[in-house]
Amino acid sequence: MEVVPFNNISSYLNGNIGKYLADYLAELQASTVVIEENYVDRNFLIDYAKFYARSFSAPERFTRRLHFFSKKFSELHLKNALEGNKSLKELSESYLGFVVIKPIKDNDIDGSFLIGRTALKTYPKTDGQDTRTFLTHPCEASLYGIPFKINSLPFQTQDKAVAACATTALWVSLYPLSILFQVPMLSPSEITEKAVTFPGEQRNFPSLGLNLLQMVNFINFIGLDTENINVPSIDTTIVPDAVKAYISAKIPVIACLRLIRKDGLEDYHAVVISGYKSDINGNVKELYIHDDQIGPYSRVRSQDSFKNWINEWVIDYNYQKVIVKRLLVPIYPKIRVTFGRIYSVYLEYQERAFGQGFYCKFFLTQVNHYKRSLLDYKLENKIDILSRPLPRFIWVIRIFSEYKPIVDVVFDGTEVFPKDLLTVGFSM
Amino acid sequence: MERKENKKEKEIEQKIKKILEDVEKKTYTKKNLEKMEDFHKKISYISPEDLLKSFTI
Repeated sequence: MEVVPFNNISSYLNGNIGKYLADYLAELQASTVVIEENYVDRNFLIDYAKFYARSFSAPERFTRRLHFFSKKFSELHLKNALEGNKSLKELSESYLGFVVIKPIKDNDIDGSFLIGRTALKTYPKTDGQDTRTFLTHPCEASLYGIPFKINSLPFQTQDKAVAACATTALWVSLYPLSILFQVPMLSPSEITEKAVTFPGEQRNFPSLGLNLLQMVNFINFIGLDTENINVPSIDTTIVPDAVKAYISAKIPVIACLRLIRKDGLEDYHAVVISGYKSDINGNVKELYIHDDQIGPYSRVRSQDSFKNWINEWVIDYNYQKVIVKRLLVPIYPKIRVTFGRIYSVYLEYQERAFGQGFYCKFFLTQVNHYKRSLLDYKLENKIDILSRPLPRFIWVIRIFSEYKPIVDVVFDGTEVFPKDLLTVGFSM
Repeated sequence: MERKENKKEKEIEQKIKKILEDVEKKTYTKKNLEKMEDFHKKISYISPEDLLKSFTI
């Protein structure tokens, strides 16, 4: 057991991603770090068994896990708490999350140790008048028997032995999907193994990357379907619209990026969009992404509705442009109304609503969540609406006037074509 | 004051009613359904080259 002040974190977190994590934790006001040695990380252990165990020079099987707290405390304080002489509640309340460090160096980039499964608290939910929305689920950790719980979306960097960016993006996506649709949680090597049952031009292992069909192949393997959104095909705010619509249903959105170098050559990259910041009118001002080469909840800004991104790739990594080529959304097969069909209906409503001085948003949701959210509102025919049977998945187009919802048009998400089921009027 | 509020609410109701009627009338016409299908195809199109590009970064 070792307890160190957060100021000493650079001895443990180094390299570009380590520095990003240290800066992120500083924003969360981290004060103390508890170092847990010889931690058995399930994901790494499976990758170890599948890949490293058969290497002549195999690395260690155990990892190191760093736990972060906003409260200042000493090793003696933690020992007293474990003995029962101090309250554990204060520690639980100040828990910010953990970072696993794998015993493998990234010799490809900066020689730092690879970051394994990492779950950290999100940025605060509000920023002045703006609101942040994140894709999270409950993440639990046990440190010497003390249970900790935070809401987060796990992150890890890529380990080129078993996974490149596409595999890592699929791995991040599995966390919310496993809760929503009960799909299996797999390690990066297992994901690559399933994905490459569709052949690509690269070696399977060490993994040099997956192509689009291999990613879709993996999504099929876990029993889901893929919504593919061709971003440059249409001149609307399609990226923020899709992100808001799917994150509302806790469904991850994978962004497939085209990175243009200063010499004009191109690279392709995949990341998960893990949240967004919006203003009082619902306009998205910032995206947050889990980028396996940058870090979790990395900020993205844009000057053109998030079709081109401004982030570390442009600012620090010497790329000229980051272009969003497409969005891949793993969805439950029973959500049959395609994004393209429902989006075309949404655009019809949006155009007319703007014309009348209103604004619109649309989102996918499940009937139980939707009805629960309606309980907080005064509605016309409330009992009738709440007691009416509806399909499990619904798309909702909501029209607002002066920040207040006026009407919802509810569509059956399980139909092939958009079919409105009911209109919900909010009492003004 | 209350009368003014009621008038504003009535106006909003009328506008919303018109939006819903307009979209309802337009969405399910044969012409618009064809347009919707074109839109759906355009938005989900993947070129053959894109299908096999590897995400390698």
